[in-house]
Amino acid sequence: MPYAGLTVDARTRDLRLDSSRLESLLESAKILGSSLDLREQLNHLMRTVMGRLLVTRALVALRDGEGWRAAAVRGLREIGEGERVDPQRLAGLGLTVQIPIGEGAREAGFLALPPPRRPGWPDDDSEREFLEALLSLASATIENALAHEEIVEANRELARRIHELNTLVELARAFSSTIDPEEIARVLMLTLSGRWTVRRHALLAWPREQAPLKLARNVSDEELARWRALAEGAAEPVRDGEFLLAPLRSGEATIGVVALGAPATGEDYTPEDVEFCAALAAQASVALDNAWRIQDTLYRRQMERELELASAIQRDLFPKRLPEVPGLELAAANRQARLVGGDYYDVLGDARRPLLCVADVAGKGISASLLMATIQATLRALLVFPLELTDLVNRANALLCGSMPGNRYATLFTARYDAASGTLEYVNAAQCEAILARRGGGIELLEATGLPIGMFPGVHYEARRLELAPGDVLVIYSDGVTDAQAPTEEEFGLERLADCVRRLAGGTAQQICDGVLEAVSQFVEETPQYDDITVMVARRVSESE
Amino acid sequence: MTRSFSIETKNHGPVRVIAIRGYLDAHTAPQFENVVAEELRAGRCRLVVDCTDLDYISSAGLGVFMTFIDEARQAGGDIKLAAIQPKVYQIFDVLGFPALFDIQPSVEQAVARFDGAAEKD
Repeated sequence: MPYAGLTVDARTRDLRLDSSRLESLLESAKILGSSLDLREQLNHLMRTVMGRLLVTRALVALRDGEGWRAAAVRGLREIGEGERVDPQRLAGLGLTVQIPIGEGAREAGFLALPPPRRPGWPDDDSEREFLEALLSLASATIENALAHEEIVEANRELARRIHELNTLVELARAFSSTIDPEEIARVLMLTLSGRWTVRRHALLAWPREQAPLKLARNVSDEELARWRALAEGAAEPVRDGEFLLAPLRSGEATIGVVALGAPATGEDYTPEDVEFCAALAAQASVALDNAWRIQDTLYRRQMERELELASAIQRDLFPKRLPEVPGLELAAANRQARLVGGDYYDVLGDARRPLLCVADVAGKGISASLLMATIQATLRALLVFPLELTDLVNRANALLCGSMPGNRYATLFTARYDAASGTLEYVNAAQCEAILARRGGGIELLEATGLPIGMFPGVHYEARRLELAPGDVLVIYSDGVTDAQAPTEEEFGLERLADCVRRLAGGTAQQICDGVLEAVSQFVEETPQYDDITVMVARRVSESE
Repeated sequence: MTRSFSIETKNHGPVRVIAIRGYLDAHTAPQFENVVAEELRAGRCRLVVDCTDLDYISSAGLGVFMTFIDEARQAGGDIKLAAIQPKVYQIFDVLGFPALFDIQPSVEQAVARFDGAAEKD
């Protein structure tokens, strides 16, 4: 019964086919149900479909917004995975059999194949039914996998957000624990380069009253200059090619820029990234501003402390009391400028042959005060030796040249008065011309006889000699007197001072000294005093006194 | 509030292993940066960062890796990461570090990757 035998064979084959389809479905259900990995599921689906239907090309497209995207592609060079596709184009490529995955409006995607080579297709209903069963099985699990992917992505997004929040909080803490602008810049750039995997980056700041700040990695000076120009007018982040530029602002002004190169991950900055970067830059701007302000305050405080110290040193250098010199009245006064100047006066040595000194040290502050102390110590030390006045000044100059820093010098008027003879010998080392008011009303000016001391070691100073007659008045002073300014910016000047001395010459040395200072005070009114004012008055008393 | 962070370096054959512990954040990142900079300056460019006891890493901490990776690779070495705890790995992952860095499950494996690379060369 060959015919009947054939029939049995065909039935057996059908049964075997059916059972293999069932096995395959069962296996698929197991595999598809056991994984949430979309890729694994699609791979399995492809293997099964291609194996059963004997096709070499296949594509699974999944819904992406309004269209479709290729999620798994086999044997097609024309289309890459992830690419957007549409049914017509696929049909054009020969994938004319297109079977939906999932049903109706909830269709998750479709499978596209060329007409299968399996004998009997498309008339063999059971093969088509099997395929539909497989796809319907797949649709549920693909949707699960898609939902899982979404959750994973949402979790990653959440992790990113939490990380951003942590970053903000952490930076606030880090910024508040330092007042070093460079440290702030460093922490900011580490954070930004880490957050977006940036290899090329820079921070440039040009605050108004502080040293500029520059931190750059793998960028050129040319780029820095361009970014500065681009940021100057910008309040919001701007782009320069691959670079994202976030301005650093202080009030309404841009005082710096942060530049970030393209992320190494290959992704570009999203609008959220730009916003976050701007927030971090703003936070850093405030921290930098504060740090600069604190440094400013500290610097000013240090300056003030230094000035106080300088002022104290200077006060200690002035003689507490002037010596009693037979036949000579002495008075002296010093009025310190707010920003300590470098005036110094003294009367040194033997009371019968005293040395009168008025000096003005170049510069201000603590270094000027220390220089004054050096001058005083040098003169005192030299007075131990019986030296002529010129020798004394020559040696003092030589010694001071060795001990004064390069650009330092002092002007000095020094005079030695001999009480026995009434002779006055003086050296004027570039100090203001002293005024000698003769009893008869004549005025003589004792002009400079040499260069300032402490400048040139080999210089020889000349001395002049004059007789002080009873009633004669010598006024030695610093340029703070003649340079004193009225509100009109007019200077007190030598002429006004000489007139003043002539007018006061009848009084005691103390009265003359007080009178000169009073005249200067009236002249300047409320104008701030910029330089030290020093006046020393020596008056030879008349025999009747 | 300062959380603890510490660094320990040791040799593992020709590879330098830097073990970081605790919180690597904006506060502590400069410290880590100095250590890595010092290693590279001394010519030690085959580095494995042992993250076994790393409890937290912030962007600033990640910034240290970005700062030196090119330099290490240009010098013929690499900065490999090893033994990162899952919750710390998540941060590396969301910011895209696995694509840029060689991250290994253990210090031994990370060190071995250097030896392998040397043989191939």
